Amino acid sequence: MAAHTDNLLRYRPWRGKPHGPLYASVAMARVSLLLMVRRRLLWGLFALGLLVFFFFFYAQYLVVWITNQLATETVRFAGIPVTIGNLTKFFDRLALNGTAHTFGNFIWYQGYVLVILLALAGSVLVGNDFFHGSLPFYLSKPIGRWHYVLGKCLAIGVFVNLLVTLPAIGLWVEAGVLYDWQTYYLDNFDLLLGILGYGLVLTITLSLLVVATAVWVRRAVPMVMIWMGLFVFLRMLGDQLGREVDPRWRLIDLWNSLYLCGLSCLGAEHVTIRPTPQPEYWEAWMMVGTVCGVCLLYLRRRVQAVEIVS
Amino acid sequence: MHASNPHSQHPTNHDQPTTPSVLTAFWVLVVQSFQRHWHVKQMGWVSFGLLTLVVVSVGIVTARDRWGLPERPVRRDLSHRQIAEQQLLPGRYDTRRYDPTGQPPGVATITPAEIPSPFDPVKDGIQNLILSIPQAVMQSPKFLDDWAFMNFSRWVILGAYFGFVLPMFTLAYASAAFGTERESRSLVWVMTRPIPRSAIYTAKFLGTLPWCIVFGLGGFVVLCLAGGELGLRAMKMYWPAAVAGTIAFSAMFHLIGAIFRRPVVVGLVYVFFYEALVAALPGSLKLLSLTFYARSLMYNAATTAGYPTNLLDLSQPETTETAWIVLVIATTALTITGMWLFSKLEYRDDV
Amino acid sequence: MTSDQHPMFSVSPSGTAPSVVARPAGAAANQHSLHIPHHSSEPLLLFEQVSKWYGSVLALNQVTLSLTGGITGLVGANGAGKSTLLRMANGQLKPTLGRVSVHGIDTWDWRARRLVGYCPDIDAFYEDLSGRRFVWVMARLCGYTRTESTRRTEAVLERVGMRDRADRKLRGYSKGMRQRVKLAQALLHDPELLILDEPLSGIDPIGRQELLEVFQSLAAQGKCLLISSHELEALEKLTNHVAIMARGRIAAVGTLPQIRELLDDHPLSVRIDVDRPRDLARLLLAVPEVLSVDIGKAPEPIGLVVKARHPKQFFQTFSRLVVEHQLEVRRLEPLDESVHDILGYLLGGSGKT
Repeated sequence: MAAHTDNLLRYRPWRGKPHGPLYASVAMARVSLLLMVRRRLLWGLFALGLLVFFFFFYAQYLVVWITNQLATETVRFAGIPVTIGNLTKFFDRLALNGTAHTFGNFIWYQGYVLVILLALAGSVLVGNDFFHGSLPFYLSKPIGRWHYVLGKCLAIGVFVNLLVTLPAIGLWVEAGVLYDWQTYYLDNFDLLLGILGYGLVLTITLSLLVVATAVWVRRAVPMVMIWMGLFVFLRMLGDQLGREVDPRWRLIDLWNSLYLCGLSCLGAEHVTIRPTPQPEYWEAWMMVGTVCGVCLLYLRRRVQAVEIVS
Repeated sequence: MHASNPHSQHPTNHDQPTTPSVLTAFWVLVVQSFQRHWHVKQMGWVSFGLLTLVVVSVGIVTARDRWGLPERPVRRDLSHRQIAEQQLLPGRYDTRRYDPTGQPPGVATITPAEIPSPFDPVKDGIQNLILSIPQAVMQSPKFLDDWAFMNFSRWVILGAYFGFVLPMFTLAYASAAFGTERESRSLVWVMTRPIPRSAIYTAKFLGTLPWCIVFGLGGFVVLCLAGGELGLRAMKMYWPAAVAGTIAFSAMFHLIGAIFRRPVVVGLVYVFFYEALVAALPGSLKLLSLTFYARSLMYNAATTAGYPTNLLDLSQPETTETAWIVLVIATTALTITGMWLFSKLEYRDDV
Repeated sequence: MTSDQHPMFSVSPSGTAPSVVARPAGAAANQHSLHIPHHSSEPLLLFEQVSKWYGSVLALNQVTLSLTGGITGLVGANGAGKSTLLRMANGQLKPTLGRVSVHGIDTWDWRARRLVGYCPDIDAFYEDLSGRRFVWVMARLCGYTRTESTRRTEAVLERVGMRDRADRKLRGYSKGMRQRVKLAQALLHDPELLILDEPLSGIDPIGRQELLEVFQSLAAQGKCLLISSHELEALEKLTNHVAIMARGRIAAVGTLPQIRELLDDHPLSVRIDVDRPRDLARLLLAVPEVLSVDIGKAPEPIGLVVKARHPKQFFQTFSRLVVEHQLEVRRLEPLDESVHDILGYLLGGSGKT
């Protein structure tokens, strides 16, 4: 009896068809997500983001409930009668009524968490590839360098949307349930599109910015410092100059510019935006576009001559 | 065996073998870790850029003379100075103000409370008294000057410097002493030298300290210079607090850099969650934060110089002596703890 | 068959060859230890029942080893614990249990590092320095004065053959040049014990030969060298004395012929799954090296457990039998993993018998 082991051991070539390089970007995004998910800090920041979401979620509910049930009643605070309607005045600033400003405000506040997260994510996602020499592994695959950038941007986009767009859509759904849902969803369908638009603007701008700054500085400390400069100091400076010199100075505050773009997506009236005075919508769009353009140009320069330094 | 090797210059063959000295090695390590920071130029540029931003920000306020009360807006488009001017007596009794139609621009409408009531002299007197307070206040140069100085102290020194510039720069440099070496996996070269581990820790600290001082104190000086005359005064008054704060923070972040694998994250959490929140709380938990003692030093310096320190928002500050003692002890204790921990811990590059 | 405390195969020092002994008590004066000027009564490097855990992973398991002089090769597969052992010998790691000492000084103590030169396996430097400057800084960090450092730097650079090309930045060095610089810094303070972690990896054949000569001249000066490698071949040219590591243990210590001899006398258990076990059993019993054959129990009567001596001959015979009788072997697995690993090294191949 012959042992036909040679039949079993024969080399068989893989008969599948490889996907295009875009699938590699998706795979790279998946790997990047896994890298981030292993960090405990990420979960902490996610919890913080969730806290902001729940605050808005329940506050929106509370506002409706109070208006419906108790608006005319009074309670006594230290013997002074106070109308309940006045107690919720403090919520008015957040405009928790399912309008464009509800979602704009939510995303504005969520931005604090998002910016911290991305500042720390940059060195993990991109900087470490340079430092620990994993870049050659990626680039030795049959993909272009732009696919690498795309993969990283996709991963960052997932975080942005998980933290910002998805909860905002949740708030929109909730608002519809709290009011008359048939009319709300129909009448405010453009708000949903606006949220998606805001999310898209954030995704594109922030992911390009993260990748560009991380490719530039690579290490965590300078990365955090640069983001701090961008989102804290330029903001202080822009606020000061915008108030006293020219509202256009506010454009250097990138988060504010993104906020303006988002509100223009949501279709909010320009005069209702606080703090006043604010630059025009088109100026904000120009600013955001310029930032994206600069990031792309910088990446293009780097991508053309990627130095692989361990 | 190739005993007949051509290389006969090996150290052993030298006539007078000199014994190596640990002290020399220690000082060489100090110098070497000082020099290592030169090579992280990027870090320097980023720090420099951030500092420039803060300085420009402070400089703009100074240039527009907005530290003092007079130019501070009360409402939109109306500063304290403008309000006070409107309340000047000639203005109050300007007959034109009674005319509801022909109101000249720039003069505020008279309120019913401001109408003099000659038949009730007591009411009139009280009204005048009350209305004259802002007026008198706006006329007192001492008050205005003190207010401007304390405002500057609060926002620039306490807020920008102790809240941001100092922790950021000391974190960047002190945690990098071990952090960069560990990131580039070159710590092994120092660790295999015949130097006690605790001495390695101390030498690294001493080598990093000049950088922290240059950027920590340099930031302080530049911020003060951007504040003009107020800033110069603040510099003379608060420099001891800045020095003490810089050294204490450096010791803290050096320790964090030596122990934790991700010193930046730990350091940032420490600064912005612990120091920023805890030191501002009114309870006794603040006694555990470093900034509290630096702020106490500031507070006492300002109080001694006769400034109204209530603007600094510091409840129950420690005395100057206690603050100094605590800061010195904290620095020493942090360094000794670091030396002890460092001589116990083992470093693995591969795990 | 393996005692928990001692290497499985220990070779007591004979008058001529080995500088490695399994137990400190067995350390007797031999050829190499004569070169050590003082402390000749105690071993230079001594591991006493050393164990090391990384979390829940046991990296070293009750290692006892003593070195007195000469060149010792440390071989083992990746992850066998070689680097851990070497880092402990140099005081980079602390044993969880047991003690590591050099001339009686605990290696964690900084004074021990004066006696030890270490060439790490990691490939990281201060990349912006030149090779010469790097070695010089390392000399300064040993505590030498400027002139002394310069003199020593030149001497060691000459020794590793880098003197004329050490002025470029380390960033641009080839792998071989980096290895040489690493070796140079280990020689700076003229240590009695040199611990070299994979010093030959990444070096071209000519460079390898040069380095081997350097090692031999160092040994001739009376230095004790502990060199790790995962290729036995490279070390065989240099020394006969090896310690084989497997799964965190010192599986064998001694000269290669001695280990081979011991291994031959040591019965080897192999499990063989085959389609016709009884036929194979019959054939095997006729083989002189085979001591016993057990046939598996009723539900699965395809497995045989064979005990045999002289593994090399046994496996040759076995292969011949399989081919001649067209047996279908489904599984071949040595039951003793340490022996398996040693065999892997001694018989060549990647550790799969």
